[in-house]
Amino acid sequence: MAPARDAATASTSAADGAFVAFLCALAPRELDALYASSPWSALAVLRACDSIAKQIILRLAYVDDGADARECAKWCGDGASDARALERAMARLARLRVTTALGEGEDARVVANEAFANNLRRALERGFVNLDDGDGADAREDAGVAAKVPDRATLNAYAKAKWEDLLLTLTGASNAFSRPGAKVKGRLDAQALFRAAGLTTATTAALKKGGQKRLKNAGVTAEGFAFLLQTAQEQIWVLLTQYIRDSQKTSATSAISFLLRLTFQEPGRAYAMTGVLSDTEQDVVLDLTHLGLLYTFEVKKKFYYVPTLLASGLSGGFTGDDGDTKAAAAAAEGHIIVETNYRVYAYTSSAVEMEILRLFTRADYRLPNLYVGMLTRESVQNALRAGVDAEQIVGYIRAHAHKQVRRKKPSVPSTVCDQIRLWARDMERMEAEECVLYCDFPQAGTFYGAVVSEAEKRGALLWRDDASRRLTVRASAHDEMKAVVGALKQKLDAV
Amino acid sequence: MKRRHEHAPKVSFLSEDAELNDDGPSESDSELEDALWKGGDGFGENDFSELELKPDHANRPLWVCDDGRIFLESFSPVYKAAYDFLISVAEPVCRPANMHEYVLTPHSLYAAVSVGLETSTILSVLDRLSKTRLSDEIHDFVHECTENYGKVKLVLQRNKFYLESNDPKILKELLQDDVIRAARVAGSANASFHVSHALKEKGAQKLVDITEAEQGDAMEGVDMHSFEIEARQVEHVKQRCLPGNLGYPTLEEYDFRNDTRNPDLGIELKPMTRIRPYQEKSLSKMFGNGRARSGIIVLPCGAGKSLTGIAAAARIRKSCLCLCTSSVSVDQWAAQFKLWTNLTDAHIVRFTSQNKDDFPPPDEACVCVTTYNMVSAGGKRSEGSERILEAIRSREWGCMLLDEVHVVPAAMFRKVIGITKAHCKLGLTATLVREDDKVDHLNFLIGPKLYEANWLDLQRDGHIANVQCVEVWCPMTAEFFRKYCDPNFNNKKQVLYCMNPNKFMACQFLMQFHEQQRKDKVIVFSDNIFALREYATALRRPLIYGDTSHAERTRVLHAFKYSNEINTIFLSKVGDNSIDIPEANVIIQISSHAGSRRQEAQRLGRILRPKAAQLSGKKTNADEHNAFFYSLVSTDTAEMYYSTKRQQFLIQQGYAFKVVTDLIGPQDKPQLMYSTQEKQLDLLAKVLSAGEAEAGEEVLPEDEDAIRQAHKPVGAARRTAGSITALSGADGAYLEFDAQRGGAKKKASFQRASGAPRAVKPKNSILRERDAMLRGKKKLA
Repeated sequence: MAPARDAATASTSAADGAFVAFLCALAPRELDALYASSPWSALAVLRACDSIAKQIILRLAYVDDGADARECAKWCGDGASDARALERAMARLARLRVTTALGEGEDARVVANEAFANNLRRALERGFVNLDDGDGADAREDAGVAAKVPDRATLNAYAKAKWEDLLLTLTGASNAFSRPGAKVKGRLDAQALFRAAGLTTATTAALKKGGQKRLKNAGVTAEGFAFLLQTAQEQIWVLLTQYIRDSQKTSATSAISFLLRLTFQEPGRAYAMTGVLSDTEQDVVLDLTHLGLLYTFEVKKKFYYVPTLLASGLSGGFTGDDGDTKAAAAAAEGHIIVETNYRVYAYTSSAVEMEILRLFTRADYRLPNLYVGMLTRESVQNALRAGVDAEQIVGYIRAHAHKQVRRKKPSVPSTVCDQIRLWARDMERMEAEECVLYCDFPQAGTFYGAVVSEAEKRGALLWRDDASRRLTVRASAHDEMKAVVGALKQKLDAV
Repeated sequence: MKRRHEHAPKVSFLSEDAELNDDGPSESDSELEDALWKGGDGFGENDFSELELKPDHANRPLWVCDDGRIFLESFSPVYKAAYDFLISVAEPVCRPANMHEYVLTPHSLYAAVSVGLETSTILSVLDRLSKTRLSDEIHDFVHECTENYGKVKLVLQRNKFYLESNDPKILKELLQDDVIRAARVAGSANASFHVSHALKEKGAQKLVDITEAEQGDAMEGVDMHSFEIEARQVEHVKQRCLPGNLGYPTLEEYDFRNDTRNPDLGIELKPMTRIRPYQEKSLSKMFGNGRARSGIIVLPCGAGKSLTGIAAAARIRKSCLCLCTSSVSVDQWAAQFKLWTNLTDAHIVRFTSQNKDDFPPPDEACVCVTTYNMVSAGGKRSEGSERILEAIRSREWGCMLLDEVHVVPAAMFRKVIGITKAHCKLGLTATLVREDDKVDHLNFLIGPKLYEANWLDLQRDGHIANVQCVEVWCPMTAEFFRKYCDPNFNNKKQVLYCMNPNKFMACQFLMQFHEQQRKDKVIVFSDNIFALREYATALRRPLIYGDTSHAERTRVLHAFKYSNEINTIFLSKVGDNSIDIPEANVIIQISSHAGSRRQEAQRLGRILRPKAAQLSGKKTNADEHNAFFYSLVSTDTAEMYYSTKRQQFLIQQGYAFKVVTDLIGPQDKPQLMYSTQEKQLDLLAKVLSAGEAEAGEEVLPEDEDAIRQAHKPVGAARRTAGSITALSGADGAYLEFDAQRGGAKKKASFQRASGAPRAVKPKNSILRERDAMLRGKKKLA
């Protein structure tokens, strides 16, 4: 895996959300193939866009030869912020290869991706039904099947337990996933997936064999710690991105396409598998079952799968700045109370939630349904050193605030958030820079002064001590300064 | 639990000859950690996930851990009831907005028993409130701690002492002891015990009622068995009963209603006097069974401690002795008595080095207000003092009010308690923290803690001001910091960070902002006298410190209270405790006494008195701050460490300190003093040239000086260093005197007062040092 691509994914995900970032990271050819494969991909992309981008796509989908770029500019308000939003949306669409810019200046045009437009039109025209070529995907009529579908609560509990096991495997506190097939039959090696995604280092597995269970020693990388503090939706995408990259090139597109179709299927409803899905797709189902995104069962030798809530969150919506995620977070039951005295109380008995809290709090008490910890300078700075950043910690405790404190504004005392940031800032106060010391200047004469002023002029001067006639110069500017100093010296010698 | 068992249930009952180490503050200031801050790494033995959760746990408000720690949800519907119960059985550790922590300790359980809660009641109520089943450890612990406590009472009734118990078996057991048998009043020997009918514990009952459907009033009262003991033997009997001897520590109670020998005091609260609910609650603990019991009531500053004390005195209606820390507060207490009750000057005797009012005839009850020092000072006393002391000694006091009990060392208490005969002792304080951890002694010298109010609840209900606490970070300027790091200027460190120009500008900025924009009254505190003087002079505002004369003080305070011209005053630590300035609502702290948590709380107390808008019943927004507490801290200096430590107490009470890193914007800077490097360098030069003694923290001379002075011939003009400090309340206020100046100064002022032989020397080292300093100054001049 090219680390460069990881970095790219990470850098765009902040603004785009995990799903868009994932798509952007695909090769152009794969993206085109994906858009051509089914209407679901087009719909998923549409759903993941913000309102301006949605508008642009819908307008362009019905004009074959595209629209004038200046015309596009009129589709939203006049203000500077609107213009910026438009620019951002256009850039995002271009990255997704949904639109292409043609020509320059007066002739600049924006054209929709043909395959994408075709599929989108098809979906819209059919009213979102029967979009699949095959039929019988929906198997709810069968009474025998319906009886086997677990109710919503069970399904949620199942998905949650699965996901927590997975995260615990990451931290090294559980080995439910390290022995494939121990709990659920599946061929997916979660450890390998973590390693490939850069969340753990290769030594993890080795350490684990030695019974090593402590988080700090589990070989979790900085990305891994950051990963733990993300929302489940983001986590799923990080893992799925990796999963898809690992699968063979040929099947990648169909796997993605299938995943996207999944996101439009209703959680808690059974869908037939045997005889409907291709082999690749069936493999994907098995792997996703292993991760807890799907629940599978068998009726009369035919396999069925039920998407869980985890799967439904896959493509989510646009996560940049509209209400979707906030609403989702508000609906979620929070469990953390942070007090002004830096105490952290978490109503939880979940091992993974406690492990996450232990990342940045000092664990003090554990009760049957309560975790009591303390945000200390030490604990927070340990977390920061492990690669979590202050905003992630603040974001995590905010996102999981208990309903009792959620009523108040702010839900986490601002003094505590400030302090976490101050602790983070504390670590950045020292900055190292490579430099070169210039010394042994003649005690008299203007040489020293001239060198100092030259260095100052170039912004290379870091420190000077006029009494002892010494200065330090940025190492990067040393070569340049060498020449300057030489010239100065010659000039002075000449005089 | 394992850990606790090592200590528990050992309670340090002090016997009269116990070694008391009150020579000075404990040096290990930094070693004293908060229970909350020393935490484990990982759960270790604090993993109580095995405790069994009750099925209806969501409706119950608290968890009880095996090690005695209790977590309480303050958002629970039964919070108020649970709080009242917990505060009487457990020690609060921290009480922020949503979740409180308490810990069961032998002391707290002793206090619970002494207000009338029984072992079984404590356990059953705890169990009822707890989300988890109580473990065996907790059962054992509570049993061990409470088994013998509160079973035997020492009651003063009709001026006879009785040992009383509701279980005759215990009395018989006690009588097996020779000392006690000998102490029993002859004539009644071999006779059966007196049996009397005692009132039921009302106060304690209330605590239980709220959590329990009452099982009918079956127990209207209980039979109490008692036998009389000789008054002379009381001390010995008490001693015999302590754990280690017989193991039945006695509770002292005063049956004031049946006290016919002592004259009644015609004291009535004025009809307009309103007792607030929490004051009522604390009084109900004190008078739970119709008798008065000794103990300590903890209320935040400004929440009406004096009214609580006065109300207690008014209920007992006997002679009352009120002890304060300074003569300023003597005046304030006397004024409070006159304000809330019908008493006039005729019945209020003030006894200070200036005021020696005459006592009414012995058969007439009165209120006497004095200082701890006046009563306990040893050595030769003036004739007037001696006469009054004799009057105090000879009288039998119905109740003794002890103000600011946290500042007075145990040895002094013993002296005071030894001199005076008081039936009931009520200690009052805002901050039951001492850096030297001597608080436990109070438990047995005065009595258990009867009530402790929750600061946040009082704030929410508008009984105290809503304070915004801010820590302002002032970076050291490069020049100051260089000198700060220079080992040659080690003795100037403190004055360097106090005089940091950035701090000065922050102070000026805040002062001007509050004076001009909000029309506030501002107090600026500095322990460093050099800084105090420099700041006050540069900003042209009046200052008060140890050497300021009484007249000057009164004048400045009056102007501050009533004039629009003076909106800011500068105070040294003389202003920490006793100066009552209800008008002030902003504090700017530029230097402080190392890591003293109590000083921080006391200073905050200066502005806690509810503000006019709150009092007039206007519904103020709960989040709206009406008082401001700024702590200016020079970054990267020792101040940062101290300030974190100082804030601990308030943070545990639920206060949040907001950190402000960039207070002054670039546009404000030019208008402030010392904003240019040139001026800053001038300031630095001034700081560095200041004398060493001058630049240090204020050293206040001792109080007994004032007492000695009192019997010097009056009339001759004299100037004794520090004679005025006796008035200021500064003396003895902080026994944990600064660590930097080392040993000599640490000798607490009360040591000699307690009769140590050293007292023979006319002047102690501190005074000599000070005189030398003054002489030096004169020479310079």
